[in-house]
Amino acid sequence: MASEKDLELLDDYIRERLSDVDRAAFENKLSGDADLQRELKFQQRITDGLRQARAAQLKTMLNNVPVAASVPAQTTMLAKVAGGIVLTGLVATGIFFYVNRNESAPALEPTEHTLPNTADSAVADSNNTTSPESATPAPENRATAKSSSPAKGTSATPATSPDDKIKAYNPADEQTATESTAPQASTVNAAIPDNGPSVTTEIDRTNSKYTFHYQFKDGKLMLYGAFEKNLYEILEIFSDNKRTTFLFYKSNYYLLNEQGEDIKALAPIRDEALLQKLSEYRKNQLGK
Amino acid sequence: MNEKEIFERICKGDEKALEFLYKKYYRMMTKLVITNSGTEDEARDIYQDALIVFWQKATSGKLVLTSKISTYIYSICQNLWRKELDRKKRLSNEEKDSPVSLDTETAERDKIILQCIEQLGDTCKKVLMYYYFDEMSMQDIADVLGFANTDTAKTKKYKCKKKLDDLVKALYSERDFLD
Repeated sequence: MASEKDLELLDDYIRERLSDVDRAAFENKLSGDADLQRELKFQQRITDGLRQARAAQLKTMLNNVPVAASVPAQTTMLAKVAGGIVLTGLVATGIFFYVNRNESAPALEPTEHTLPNTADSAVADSNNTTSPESATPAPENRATAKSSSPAKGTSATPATSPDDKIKAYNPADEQTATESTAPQASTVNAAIPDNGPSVTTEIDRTNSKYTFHYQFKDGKLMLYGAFEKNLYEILEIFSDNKRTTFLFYKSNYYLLNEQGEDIKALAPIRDEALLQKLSEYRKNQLGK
Repeated sequence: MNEKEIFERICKGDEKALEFLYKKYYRMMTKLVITNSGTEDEARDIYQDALIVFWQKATSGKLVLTSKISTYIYSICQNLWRKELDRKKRLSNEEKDSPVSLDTETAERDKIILQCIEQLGDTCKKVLMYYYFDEMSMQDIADVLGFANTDTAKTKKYKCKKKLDDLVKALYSERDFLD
């Protein structure tokens, strides 16, 4: 059995804290002592275990730090759909405010008089908001849409008749009317299921590697981590027959990418406009 | 927090400073992987691993910074991602029917150690992890954990290590793993 002094030496040897001379002397002693060799092997294994555990602990800590997700070069389809929802929602909000103002204010500004017949020319003015590609905006385009004035936003509407009902985009409103929305809003023609989420959810709290992750597999949603029972909600939004799924957990919303069966980390959504829409949608769902 | 302050705090084992750094360079570092055929998950993994390497070197006092922190971490990310790409390439070139050897006994021994670490109290775990992974000085361990002095930290470390050794040896003995 190794003495206390030997154990101290072993510690320093493993941590590479010995001077060249001391290391050489220790290795010399080691070569002729089978017990010490066994103890070194044992201590090395324990040190490796402690290092492994600490690295995992730091990784878990970093995983829990909220960061804005990077925009990958190849934006996923679901992210594009989510982006389209946000952009169209912003345009529709602009239209809503514009039309409301139109009805209440008899003295219109000159530019507003031209609204009903300006669809074509307006398209040329604001390609960002009217072209079909606007359903999949780059982040920069989203920023542009956010900063555009309501009057500019209305220019995106095709010639609308006075009877047309134009509403700001709200996922919950779209449960009933999906047919009468303006053409450019087709990407968000949503059908919300009446019942709870269609996807079955299971939680794995025991996985030590994945501590706040998810995975779609065999039509099931697996959540990895210490999720508290009944504190998470799955929100589904259907758009053009495609489902976009979100997780709501402890005041945060997370986009759940259904592509592939790999295990993905959960990253909270930071886009204010999308968060507001999701919050409204959730409130409506809870009110039912 | 400026660069110097962040580095000093990290050297002392301040995890809040590490979190600050993680957020600060998240986009810059993950972009490196994403623009080089990596996914967001891989990018996050590589960045976290690089940051942990940086943390370990800083807390152990083995790092003398001669460049900006971001430059240093960026170079670690580059190296790690290059290694990962090489690993992937090797895997794809390997024949699928090549025999895979699994050392179940080694895996079992490692598992036992992790189980025993989990059985330790919170302070014991911290003392041992700070000593063996972070390689913090006894003074820094005493400061971070609020011990009266370095002697207290040394005694605590000795007792906790003995406890862990005994726990592991008992389980190894049960499974006939003791050499």
